[in-house]
Amino acid sequence: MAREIRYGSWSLAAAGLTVLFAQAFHPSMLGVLWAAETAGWLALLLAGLLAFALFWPVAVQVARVPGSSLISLARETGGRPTAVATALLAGGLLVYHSGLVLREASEMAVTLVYPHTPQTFAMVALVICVLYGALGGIDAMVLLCRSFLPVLLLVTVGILFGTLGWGEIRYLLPLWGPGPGLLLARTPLVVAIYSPLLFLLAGASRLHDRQHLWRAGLVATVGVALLFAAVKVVLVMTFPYPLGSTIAFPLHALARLVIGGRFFERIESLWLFFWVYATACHLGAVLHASAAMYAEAVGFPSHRTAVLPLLLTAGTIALFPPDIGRAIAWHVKLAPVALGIAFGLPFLLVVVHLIRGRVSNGG
Amino acid sequence: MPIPPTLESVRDAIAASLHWPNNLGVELQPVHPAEPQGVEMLLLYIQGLADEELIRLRVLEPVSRFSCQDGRLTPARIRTALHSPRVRLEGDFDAVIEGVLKGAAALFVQGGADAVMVEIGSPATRTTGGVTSEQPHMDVFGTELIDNLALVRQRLSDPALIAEPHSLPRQRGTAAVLFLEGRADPEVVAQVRAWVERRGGEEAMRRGLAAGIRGKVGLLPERLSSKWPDHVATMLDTGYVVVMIDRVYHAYIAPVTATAMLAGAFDAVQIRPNSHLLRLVRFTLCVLVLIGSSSLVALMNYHHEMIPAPFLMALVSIRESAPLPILGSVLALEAFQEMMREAGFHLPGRFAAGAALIAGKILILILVQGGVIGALEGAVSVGVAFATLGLLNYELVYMLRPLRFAMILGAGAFGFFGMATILFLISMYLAQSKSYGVPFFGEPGIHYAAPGGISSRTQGGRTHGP
Repeated sequence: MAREIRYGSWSLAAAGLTVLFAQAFHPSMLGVLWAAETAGWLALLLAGLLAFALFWPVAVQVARVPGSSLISLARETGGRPTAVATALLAGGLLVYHSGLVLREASEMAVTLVYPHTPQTFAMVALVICVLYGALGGIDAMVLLCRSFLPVLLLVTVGILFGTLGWGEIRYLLPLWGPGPGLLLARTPLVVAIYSPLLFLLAGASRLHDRQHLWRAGLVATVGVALLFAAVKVVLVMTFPYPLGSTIAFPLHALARLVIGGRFFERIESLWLFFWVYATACHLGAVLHASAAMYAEAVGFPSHRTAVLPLLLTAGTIALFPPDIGRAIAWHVKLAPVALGIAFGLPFLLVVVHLIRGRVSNGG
Repeated sequence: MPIPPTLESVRDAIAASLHWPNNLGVELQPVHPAEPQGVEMLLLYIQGLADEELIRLRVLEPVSRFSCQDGRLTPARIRTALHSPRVRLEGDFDAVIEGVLKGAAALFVQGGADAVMVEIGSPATRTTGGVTSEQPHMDVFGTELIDNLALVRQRLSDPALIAEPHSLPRQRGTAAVLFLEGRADPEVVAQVRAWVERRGGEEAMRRGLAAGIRGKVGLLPERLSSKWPDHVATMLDTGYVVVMIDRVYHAYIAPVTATAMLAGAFDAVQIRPNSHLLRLVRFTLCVLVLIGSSSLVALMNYHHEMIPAPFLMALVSIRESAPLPILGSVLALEAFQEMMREAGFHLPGRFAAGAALIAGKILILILVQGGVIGALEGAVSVGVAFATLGLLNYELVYMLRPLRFAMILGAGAFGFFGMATILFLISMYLAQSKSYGVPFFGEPGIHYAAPGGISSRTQGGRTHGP
């Protein structure tokens, strides 16, 4: 008798939050946050709602398809060629994303966080973590995230409370920023940060509809939006406009102002200890998702077969950008494409599937 | 539910509700009165909960002398014959079972609408003796299996609690596999049963506590051990499976999960917020044990910028006379601490381990004052040592002790980045590890009920235990 694991909303939300927490630190996110300017907290809230509005119907529909995964949806909709094409597009995006994030992370680890660490070691250590995470599978990843999340939230809340003493309420007003029009225009860019939620969809081949995939997505999306919004609120309360809107690494900036920060001069080194952990979870999950997609599309018995070739591909991509600036530029350019593939592709498949279902039912 | 009319149906009802005869300690025996001859009654009680000497004196002997001239044996007449204010009639079968689980004996008569209940409970206790104001009054296990089972049943008087008997012929002993039916995962129960039948019980009888700790190559033990009935009852109640063995004064708990490792013996007698808080405290202690000394090494070797300049200057001046680098000092202190702990285990007396630890700390103080090591690493070493003392679970401490050295070496080589990498690899290893098929970060029983999720068996995860 095979033992079955059931994930509740909490586990999936934990996985989503951990993945997105790591995303928040990537340099490519900074451009998005800069664009949000003073009312970034509102932009992030809007982004959260928009991401949920896009994510929810897709997840609900995918959960209705036998197999409950993006690839099974594609196979149901257009047969095996569509499934392979979907895996190439979505999985390819994830591998490309992994490569760039790997490069950014190792560069950041060396230049910003751990100046005494050799870059080769940073890269190799991350690759080992990612490989282990991806081979470990979605079970281990979700369980790990679930155990890690309370620590993450505790530290974040501690930092937020520790910085409130410097705040000024007037900087919270949206009109201090660029105004509602520009804000709304830039919101879709912010939504791009939610593209790793595709990971949840990719992992959905193992999840059943009764496990409330959509609710987990809701909790993860809105939770992260609230987290970022809270960070941005405190940032804007702490630093006046326009300074507050141009600060890179808002979490780092806040971390430096923790009351304990009077003791620790650069507490971000400690703070980014958690970031390394979350990044390893993030990259492992993303690589696992792409491997699972390919394995399902071409009919491999296990995703493990695809992990090493995909990791090698991601590692090669990581070495392409000549410097971190170029890596960030590529990643920012990738955001709209990621948005389209993460949300547009499943949405398109769901619509076609629904239409075909109705046609066949009518016939 | 009324009392079944015939003794055969009474037997069936007891088999259904108390899993007799496959439930160790549940005693159902025939009783015969003097007159009329050839008539049979059934006596039901639980060994250890009901005093067998009192049963002999107050039930068996009076009943064996009882003579009914007209041949009409009824529960009311038996009650009169037993002649005690602690004897009553009970017409509800469920209430009878409930009474038996609380230590009473029940006498069933052929065709009787009631059972004769005799309150003779005189449960076995075995207290710790040294009760302090901080700790509640706690019983501990002895070496008699029946008494140990009774100690658990006192705390968990649930008919679903099953103690499956398994004989250990080579050691002439008995083992019991305890679980709560409907709450424990049947597959885990089957695996634990297989371990006992594969002479695991005999191994445990020979090796005692070591049989629970000794596992395959890896970090996690195969089983946890406990000598506290309250602890064991709580674990059974949350779906774990327990093995108790004759002449072994520890119970073995399976599967090994993070929650089980952080649970303490005294949690069972705490109200819920406090027990959660205690687990949080233990988790914090685990983190402190793991990263306490290594953080110091990382800070002093790689991340000077995190320390304010005046404090850094003070630290440098303190360490000026120290001959060893910080990594060497910390490693030496940790190794010294391990030696003192090991020495403490071999000293006689209850407080020997604590005394050895205190002696070690005094030696560290002397080393600091003599300028051999820095004050900071001495203070951190003392803090980590006391954090280790705060973790009650031996298996957890054994798991953390070697990992601490890996973290120190990682910090010495690559600072916080090395620590984060090693911590992730350890966490990933733990997340993949399974004990009796249950993930280390999972919970037994409750998450495995419904079909259609992930088959953890097909994920190729690492498995501990048989």
